[in-house]
Amino acid sequence: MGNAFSRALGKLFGSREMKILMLGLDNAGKTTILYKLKLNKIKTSTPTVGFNVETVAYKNVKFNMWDVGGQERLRPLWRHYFPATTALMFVIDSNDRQRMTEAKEELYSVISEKEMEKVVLLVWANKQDLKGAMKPQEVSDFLQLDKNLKNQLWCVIGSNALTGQGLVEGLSWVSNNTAKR
Amino acid sequence: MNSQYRERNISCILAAEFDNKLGPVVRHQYPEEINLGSLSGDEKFPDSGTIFDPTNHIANLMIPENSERRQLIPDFIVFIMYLHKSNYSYRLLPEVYDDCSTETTECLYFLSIHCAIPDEQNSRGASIKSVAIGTTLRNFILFKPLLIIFLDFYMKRENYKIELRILKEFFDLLNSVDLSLVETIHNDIAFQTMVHSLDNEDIVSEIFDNQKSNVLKETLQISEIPKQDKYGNSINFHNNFISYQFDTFTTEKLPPIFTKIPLQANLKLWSGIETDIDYQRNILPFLLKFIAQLPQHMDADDSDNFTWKVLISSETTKDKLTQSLACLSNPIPTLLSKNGSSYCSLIKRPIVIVPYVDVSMLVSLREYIGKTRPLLLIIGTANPIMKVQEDLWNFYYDMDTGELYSSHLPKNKLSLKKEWKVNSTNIKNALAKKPYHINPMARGFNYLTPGYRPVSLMSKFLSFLKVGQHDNDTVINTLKRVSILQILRVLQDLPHGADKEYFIERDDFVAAYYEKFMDFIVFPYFLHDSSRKFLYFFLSLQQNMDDLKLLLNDPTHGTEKLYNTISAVYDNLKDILVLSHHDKKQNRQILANVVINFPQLSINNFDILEQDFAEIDLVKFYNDVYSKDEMRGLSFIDKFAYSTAFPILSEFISMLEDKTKSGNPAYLSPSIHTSRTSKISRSNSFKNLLSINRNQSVFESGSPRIPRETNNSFTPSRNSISAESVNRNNENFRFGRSPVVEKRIDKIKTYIFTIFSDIEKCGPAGSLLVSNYLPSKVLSQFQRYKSHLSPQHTSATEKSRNSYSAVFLGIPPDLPDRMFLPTSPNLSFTSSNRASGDENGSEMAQHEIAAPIKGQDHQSTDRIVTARPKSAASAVADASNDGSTFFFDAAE
Repeated sequence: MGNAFSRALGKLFGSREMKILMLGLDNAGKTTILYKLKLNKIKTSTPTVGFNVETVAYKNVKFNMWDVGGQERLRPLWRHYFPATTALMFVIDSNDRQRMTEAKEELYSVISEKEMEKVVLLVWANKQDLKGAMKPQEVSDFLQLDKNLKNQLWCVIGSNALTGQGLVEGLSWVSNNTAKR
Repeated sequence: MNSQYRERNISCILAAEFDNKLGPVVRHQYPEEINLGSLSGDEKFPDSGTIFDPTNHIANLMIPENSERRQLIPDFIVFIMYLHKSNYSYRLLPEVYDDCSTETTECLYFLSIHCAIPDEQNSRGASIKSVAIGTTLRNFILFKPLLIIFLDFYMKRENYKIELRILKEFFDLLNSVDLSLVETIHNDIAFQTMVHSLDNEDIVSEIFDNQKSNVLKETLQISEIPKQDKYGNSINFHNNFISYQFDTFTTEKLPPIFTKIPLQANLKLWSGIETDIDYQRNILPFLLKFIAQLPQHMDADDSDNFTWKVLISSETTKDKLTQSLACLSNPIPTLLSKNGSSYCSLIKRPIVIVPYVDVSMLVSLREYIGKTRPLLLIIGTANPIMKVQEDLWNFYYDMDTGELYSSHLPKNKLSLKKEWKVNSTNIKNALAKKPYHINPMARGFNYLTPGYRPVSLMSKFLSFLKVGQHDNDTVINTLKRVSILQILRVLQDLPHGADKEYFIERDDFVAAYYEKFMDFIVFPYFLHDSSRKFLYFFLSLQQNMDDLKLLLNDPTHGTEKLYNTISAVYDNLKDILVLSHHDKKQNRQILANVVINFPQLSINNFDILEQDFAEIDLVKFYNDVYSKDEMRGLSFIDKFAYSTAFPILSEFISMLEDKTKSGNPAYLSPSIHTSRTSKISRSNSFKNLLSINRNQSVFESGSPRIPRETNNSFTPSRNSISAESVNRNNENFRFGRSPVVEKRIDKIKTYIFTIFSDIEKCGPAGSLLVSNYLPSKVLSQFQRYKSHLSPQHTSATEKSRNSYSAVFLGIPPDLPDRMFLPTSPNLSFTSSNRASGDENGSEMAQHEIAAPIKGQDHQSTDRIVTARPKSAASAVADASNDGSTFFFDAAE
């Protein structure tokens, strides 16, 4: 009864539910972002084996967020999570300049998949609190998204998962840009 | 597998860990000779020692999804690897051949333990490691306690070489005890089947108590229970457990505590894999939902060309999930063996169970489904993303919520609550009753509109078992009895008669069974030809005994009717004996198993095929059936599971009063109410029958009961004797002297005692069954009967064998290999074409005949037959030459 009522309200006021896939290299901060958004807490840092999935409500949108481990041998498994994805959140460790190319390759590898060609892309340039971190604009330039993603909505937002900086903006952007989808 | 590992308790040991850069990796395999698919052992990262595994399946299984959440709390996972003979390597999916066989006999069971611990030295703050053992032992869970301790020790080692050394040492430790004794007991299927069927804990404890019984000794065929294994490790028995001490092993790197923890093995093992989860919570809810869905899908499944895929998901512990999957290959009894492999006759497909699959296996799984013949594929997973992979399931069951989804009914989420509502008695359901509507345009699993589904007896009991507290044996034994009731129902429907059509081939019977009951819970043991025959005979016996009781309460019955009913009981017993003495070793075991599992038949007041049990109050029903005080304390399930074959057999003996004959033992003493049988309500009207046996006519025992005129309506029937002969004997009935009836009753008693004797000889536990299940007075009569047939007594009575055989024409217990049974000349399992002889027994001609038992060795049946008078002694002598030779008494 409760569920039916909330569903009815949701329809009335435009409530939506969408599947979000959060990818990125290992140690980029995906799980920290997920649980900061979900619990507003910093979860003990342990590598993700497999996946985490949580539902995050923002305004009238329910984000079913899938956070998938980013280790080398887990990346080939990302594609199994592609079906029915509305938005891809790609998390980059802005401070890990050495692996920026690797991150870029993985990102293009994902968005070039047919199943992902219509998703909106949010890149979180994470770990902005660290001194040597690349700025969001630097990251954007490095990724060359404007050049390569002509038909896809994308955005790069600087974030700090520890403080939550940039996270809500990211959700808001996804929410706004998937409204008609 | 290499022969050098065959005798080992564990064949290999693996260690894996989560590499922060790579993900899960297998770091060690020992010994490396065992080819675990891609883990060939020859491709290694030179620096780290990490074994390169292109598919990474094993690493992903050992460090499964979400294992980082198990901080300081270890979890287990079970997976199975099958030997592929083409390249002699083990793979996670079996080869399935055209004859439906799989490689199930050549597999390694892996028990893997994993855990995460906070680790300041680790850049990601935690270490995740895993150790797995591969073994051919089906009771691999006995290694669990040692694995927990070992993982704790192993996780603290950082050095690659030290890791490997302690792994080897642990491997040697586990192999330093000899578990062959346990294996021998586990592999004794007849013994295990019996032990698991016993509802009397006293008997079970006595079986495993070497001080009280010799059952284990005889099962192991040893004169003394050893106190040490063959390596010199001390062993101890406690209840149904045996514990091994690691006395002979000296630790080097491992702490000595490892040798102080005994290895405890459960001697009870059902066929399949031993697990430590309870069926009630983990298996029954799935079965209840799945069975409810089967009929409509079976109706829609007109194609043999696709694989039925059942995905079972749980996000709790991998231990619970994977053991539950392993359980499905156990007694749940979906599995019918075909060519030595798992096969589901219901949907005519081999069964492959994969306890755990993660996303890393999806590609391989799809390839496997694509290239393998149609299967019933049951897969476990902990990843909800699998639900999105709709090509990988037809049924998706969420163990955590109890919801079952069907791929062609995506909107119809079938929660347990909803299911219960459907089955409840509210008026909505009554209004909603309608058959399924099958869309003829749909293909494969047609789109089905679910409506009301009648609740079968099996579903009803699954619902009952799902609540309350029931151990696994109770669950299985209850389901077993429901299954037997359903088998009996099918047997009743099949045509039968002298040609024995009802004993059709097993496969045909299974097909007939599944046409009627689509619940796929079948215990293959009871589908065996002999099992079905015994079941049928006991069904018939129970019905004839009930008829007898009614007749004795009915003053209007005819004498012939009474005699014929007694004859029918006699025939049933004879059928049981003939079968028991054919292929004795096997059939006696089957007889004992049927006897201890034979259910209460009062449910047959309903037609269990047609009846909708949704609104039937079975609790009340069984409370009414078992109204005796002794049964009041028992739960409804216990009452239902109460086995009744011993009471049926004892009943006839119990109802007779003492009859002291000169020269004969007083084995006719009454014992209607004794420890076990007293729990069964029965009619005291048997006393009426006593009057026959006590040389008191039933007509004399009270007011005029049976007008003699009613005898004129006699019609020969299956169990009939000639009307003329009966009428001739009516005088004897009337005046309390009926040698015919008396003799027949004597023979019935003899047959019953012979059946008890056969059960005693069914195996090491046979005498325990008889001594514990028989009412004490019946038991004492049986013992007197046996002592009467002791060699001394036999010798004393040798001279009067001919006349004696008319009374004790059963098989003397001291002649176990001889067939010495009265039966009819055409000798089939029933006596429909019974030769009618002189009912007074004046013609004592005995005929020798071989037993043409359908489907058995016909060579022996060809050697027949004389029709000559023969003394019992010479008959026995002849019988000893050929076990297939029968004798019968034409006086019958």
